[in-house]
Amino acid sequence: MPFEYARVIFANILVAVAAFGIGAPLARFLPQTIPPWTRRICCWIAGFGILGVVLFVIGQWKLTRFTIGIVLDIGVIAAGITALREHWFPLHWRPRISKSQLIPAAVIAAVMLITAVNGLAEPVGDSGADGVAYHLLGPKVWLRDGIVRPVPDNANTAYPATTEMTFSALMEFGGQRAPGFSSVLTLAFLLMISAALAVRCGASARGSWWAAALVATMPSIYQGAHSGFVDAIYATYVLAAALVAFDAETGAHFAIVGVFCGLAIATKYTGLIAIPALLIIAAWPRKSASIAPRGGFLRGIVIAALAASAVAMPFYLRNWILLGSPIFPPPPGVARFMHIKYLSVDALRAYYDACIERGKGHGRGLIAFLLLPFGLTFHAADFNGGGGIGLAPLALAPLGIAASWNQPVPRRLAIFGAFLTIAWFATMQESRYLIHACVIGAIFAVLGWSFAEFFIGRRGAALGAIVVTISLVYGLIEIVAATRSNMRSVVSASYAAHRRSAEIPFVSSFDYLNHNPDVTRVLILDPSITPYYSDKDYLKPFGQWGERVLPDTKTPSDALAKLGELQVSHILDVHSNISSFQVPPNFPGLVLVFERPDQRVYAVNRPRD
Amino acid sequence: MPDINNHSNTLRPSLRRRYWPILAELWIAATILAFAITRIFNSEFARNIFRSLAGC
Repeated sequence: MPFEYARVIFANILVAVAAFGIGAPLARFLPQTIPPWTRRICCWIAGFGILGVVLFVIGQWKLTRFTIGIVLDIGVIAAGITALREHWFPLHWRPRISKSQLIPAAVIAAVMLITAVNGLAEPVGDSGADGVAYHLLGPKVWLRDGIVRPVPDNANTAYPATTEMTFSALMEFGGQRAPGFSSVLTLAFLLMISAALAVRCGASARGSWWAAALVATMPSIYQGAHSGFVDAIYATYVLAAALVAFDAETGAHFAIVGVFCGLAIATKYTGLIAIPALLIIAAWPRKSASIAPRGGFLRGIVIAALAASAVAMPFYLRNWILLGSPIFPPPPGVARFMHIKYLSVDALRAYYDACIERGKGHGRGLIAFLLLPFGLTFHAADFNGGGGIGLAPLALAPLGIAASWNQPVPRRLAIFGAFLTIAWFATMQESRYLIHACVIGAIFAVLGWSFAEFFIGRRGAALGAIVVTISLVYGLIEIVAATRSNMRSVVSASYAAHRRSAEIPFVSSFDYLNHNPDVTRVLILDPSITPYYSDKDYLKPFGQWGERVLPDTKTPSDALAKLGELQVSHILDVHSNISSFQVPPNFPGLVLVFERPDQRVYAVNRPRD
Repeated sequence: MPDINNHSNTLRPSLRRRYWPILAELWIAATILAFAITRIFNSEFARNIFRSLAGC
C-alpha cells in the first residue's frame, strides 16, 4: 500500500509541475499591477486548465500513456526552463508567516492535511455519488478505449471535461486513487486565489490568511473540492478571471481574462451563465483606466469572448458533431429541431425535471430570495449541502460591503457576487454550485471584521473574532465528519476492506469479473449499476438517465435476444432497487458461473467458428 | 491598491451616524445567537432531550 500511495503522490506532483510549466509563459500577458506571486498563481491555475484542454484535443485522436506522457513532459521541461531562467536553484525559499497569521495558517494546514489523507482513499459509492458515477468513469473508459468519446450509457460524461482530462493523466500514472488526491492541488488553488482577491480588495496580509481559512472551512465549498468533484476548480477559474479582469486594460489582459472564462466554460456548463456578467464587469469603463470608455468596453468584451470561445470550443464542437447538440443533454425543446443521440425527448424531460426538483432549494419567489442568506447559513441541508457556509458571511459580510463600497474593485466584486447568487437562485440551488459567491462572501466577511473593530470598537473586534471562531470550528467539525470514513479507510486496512464491501454495489461480482482472464466484455443489464468498478470493457444498453445505447433495443429481453451480435463474454445480472433479475432461468447459451445474494454472473457460450 | 483598513477614508458619511454602530453590533450578536440556537436544536443531544420529554 505505501507504494500505491507513493505512486498517487508522484502522479500529482508530475501533473502539478507540468501545469506550472504550461502556464508559465502567460505571466508576461498579465497586468503588471498584479503582484508577482499572484501572477505566478494565476499562471499555474491557467496551466492546470490548459493541460486538460490540450489532453482533450489530443484525446480525440489518441489517449494513451505515450500521448499523455508527451504533453506532461513538455510541461515539465517548460517548468524546468522557467526555474533555470529565474535562477531558482539552489532553493532559498523560507515561509514568511508572522505570528498574527499563525492561527489561520494552522487551520489551513489542518484542512490540507485532512484533504491529503482523504484523497488517498479508494473511490467508493453508488450511482448517486457523482465522482464514481461520471467524473471518474469517463477518464477510466477513455484510457481503456484509447480515445476520448462520451460514454454512450452515461450522458454526464459528455459534460465539459477539462478537469476529467487531467484525471485521465493522473489515473494513467498514479492509479485509481490519484484523481482524488488532486483535491490537494485544486483546493490550494482556490485558497490562493481567494487570498489574492482579498488582498486586491484591500485586506491586509493577515486578512488574506483569514479569508483563505474561512474558505477552507466552509463545508459547502469543501464538498465540491474532493472525491472527484470539479466545482472548486471551476470556481477558481471564475475568480481568477475576475482577479485579472479588475486590472485588465490592454488586449492581452482581456485575452487572459477570456482564457480563464473559457476554462470555466470548459469545466462546467454553469460557466455559460457566469461568464457574460464577468465580461461586462471586466470591460466596464473605469475612471482610472487608460482605455477609451466606449470603444474599449466593446473591444475588451470581444477579445475576451474570442479567447474564451477558442479555449472552450473543442468541448462543445465535439458534442455537436458526435451527439447532435453542443450542450448535452440538451433541453427537451432542442430535440424538436436537432437529432439527439442516445436520449429520447421523454428521457430529456425526465432528466431536466430531476435537475429542477433537486435544485429547487427554498423556492424561487422574492421572499425566498431575500431569506436566502439565512437559508444558506441556518438550513444548509435544503441546498444539498449539509454543513453550509458557516456564520461569517451572514454576520460580517454586510459590514464589509458597506465599508468598501466606495472602492471600485470591492464594489465590482460585490456586484459580481450578487449576480452569481441571483443566477444560481434562478437556476439550480445546489450548494456547491455557489462556491465562487461563497468565496466572495468570505472575503467581505474578513473586510467586515476589520471594519467592525474600527466602527464598533473593541466589542466589535471581539464579536468578529467570535463569529470567525465559530465558523472555523464548526466548519472543521463538519469537514472531519464528512471525511472520517475515507480517512479511516486509509489508515486501517480492515476498515477499508469492510467499507469496500459495504459501499461498492455488487462488489463481489466486479471482483470476479475483473480477476477472471476469460472475461473480455461484460453486458450490464441494470441501469442503476455503476460501471466505474468494471476494469473490463463493458456494454450497458440502458443508462441511468434513460440513455439507449443500441437503437433497436428497448428492453433487457431485446438485448438477450441478440446476444450473438453484442460480442460479450459475460453478463452481470443483479436484483437492484429498481429491478429484479433480468436473465430468465436456464436461458439458452448462458452458464451461471458466479452467484451471490442479489448478483449473478453468466458466461456466454459462443458458437465455435 | 486601496487600503480598506484605513476606514476613515472610505466610510460613507451616512454611516457616521451614531445608531449604525449599535445596529451593527446587535446584528452580529443576533446572528451568533441564532446560529447557536439552530445548532443546538439540530444536535443529537437536543433531539434526545426532546425524545425523552415526548416520552414523559
